[in-house]
Amino acid sequence: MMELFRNAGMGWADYKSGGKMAAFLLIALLYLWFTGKAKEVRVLAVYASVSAVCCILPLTAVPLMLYQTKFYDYEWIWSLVPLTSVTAYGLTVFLAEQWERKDDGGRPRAVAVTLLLLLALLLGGSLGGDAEGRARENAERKEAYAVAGLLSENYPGEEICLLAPKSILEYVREADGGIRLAYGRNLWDESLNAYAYDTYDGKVSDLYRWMDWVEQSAGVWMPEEDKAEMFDTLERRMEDAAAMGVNCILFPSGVPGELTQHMEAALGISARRFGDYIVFTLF
Amino acid sequence: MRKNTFRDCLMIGEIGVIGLAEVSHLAAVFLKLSFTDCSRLYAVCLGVLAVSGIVFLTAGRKHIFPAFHRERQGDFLPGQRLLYVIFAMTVISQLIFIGMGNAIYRRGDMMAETVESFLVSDGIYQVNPMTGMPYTEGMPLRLKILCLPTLYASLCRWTGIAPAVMVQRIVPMAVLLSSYVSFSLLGRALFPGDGKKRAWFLLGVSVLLWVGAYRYGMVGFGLLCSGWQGVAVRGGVLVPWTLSLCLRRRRLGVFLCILAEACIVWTLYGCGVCLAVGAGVTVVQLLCRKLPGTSANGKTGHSAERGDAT
Repeated sequence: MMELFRNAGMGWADYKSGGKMAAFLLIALLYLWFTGKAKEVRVLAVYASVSAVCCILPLTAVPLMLYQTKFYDYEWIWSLVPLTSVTAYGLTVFLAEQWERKDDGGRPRAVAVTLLLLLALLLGGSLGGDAEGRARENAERKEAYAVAGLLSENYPGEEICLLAPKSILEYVREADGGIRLAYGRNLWDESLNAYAYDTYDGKVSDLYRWMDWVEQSAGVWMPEEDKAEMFDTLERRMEDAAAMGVNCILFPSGVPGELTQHMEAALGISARRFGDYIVFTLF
Repeated sequence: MRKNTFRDCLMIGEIGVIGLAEVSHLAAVFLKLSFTDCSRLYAVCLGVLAVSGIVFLTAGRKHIFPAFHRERQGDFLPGQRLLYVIFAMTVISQLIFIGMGNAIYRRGDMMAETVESFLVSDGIYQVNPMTGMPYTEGMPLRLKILCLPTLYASLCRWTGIAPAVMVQRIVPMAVLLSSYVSFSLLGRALFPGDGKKRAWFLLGVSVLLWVGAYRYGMVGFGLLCSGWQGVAVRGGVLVPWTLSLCLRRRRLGVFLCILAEACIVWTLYGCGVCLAVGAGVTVVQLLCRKLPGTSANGKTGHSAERGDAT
């Protein structure tokens, strides 16, 4: 229970940071109440005020969190608050009044007020957001789709069970449902584990860590101890992978040649160049 | 039903689509039907719904369409047309944003993989969508009975569109448009007889959806970045309509929203946000009615009802 209270308290702190929608709601409510315009929509204004207070105070937020099941995080209790509706109502009443006023500058003043309000609203969000992160994700998605397409094209009819870098596994199942995986993205996106009772055993975690080393080895630098362990455990990891049904392994093309040779020796097959990747197939 | 507007009928139809998806989905889960049979069953159900809808609209056209026509052809106040043009431009920009797919948020969500799994395995949850391997321990029943994957997979099956495109682009566009239908109904309840304020309200909503796209959990974010999710449908479509229905004292529609939410979102035994909002607004309405001088209930009671007919 204490954890729920802590989550509720921290949840509100987190909710109001980043963007200002909650602040806009409170401003709209204050405007409606203090100008007497809330009387025109008393039911909505009272409901929105009470529900917002209930979401802000940890004592009332906790029962709401329990009500919405523990499956959802704190921010979802705000679904009970008509945040967009009431803020839009406040905006409408305020702007309509500005445009109806004939005194104090008339239309130019109304235009200026509207533009300033629009600017304040847009600045209260997160203009552009994390554009860099989105661009990276999109590039990864594109790459994964291309790889899935190449696999289907090159190995038609094969029941592929793939082991590949995380960025490929992240999207490959949505690109091609026919490709099976030793582990999916619920290994690193733990919230997905709520959708199934299935769990991964230690061998899968070891394989995931090992593939992470492989990816690092294709980069500029990796710790020597990790590199040594990657080579030492290669055969064991490949045995585990084969036991899990893996029959197609993708490495980034930048991995050391020594690693490719070790893999070829361990699997008894030749690697094949596959775009920006090296592929080892067991079928 | 007599005073339902055309947009109310659209919302009822949408809930009907969800309800029939749930029926087909449950039939497939409990009777262990293949996905092909499930989608055929759903197609038949949708056909029946479409015919019933046409019959209903034809029978009730005097009550439904006159209001619709008056609304479209009625006199626009000065500036109202301009507001609607700006609103339309905002909506188009949002549709383009969704269509570009540059801000798809899929953390904690596996809808595209689930739909792909249904299509490839020709079964409902025959394999774990994350790996494509058969389940070893299974999955929660409450999750298993949610119908959106079947709805989207059926759309993919009938149209041949790839699941990722259908789920992450086309469905969110449809949900966004539904959301505006829902908010326009709320606008009618809040500003009966004032078309210009309704235009301001819709424009305000469209701007706030952009503004709210900064954070997971916001209505704007749900509609623009993950519009296929049940919580996005709930927040953008069902809750505004629930509010509008409550303000117009249409309890039957609220019941439909509660059912629809139970079909698409993991709730506490069906007790979700629509029920809480419906109950909360009803309690406030009862309290307001008992307070001296507030019996008229502002614009939320009978005047709103009148607004439907204007």
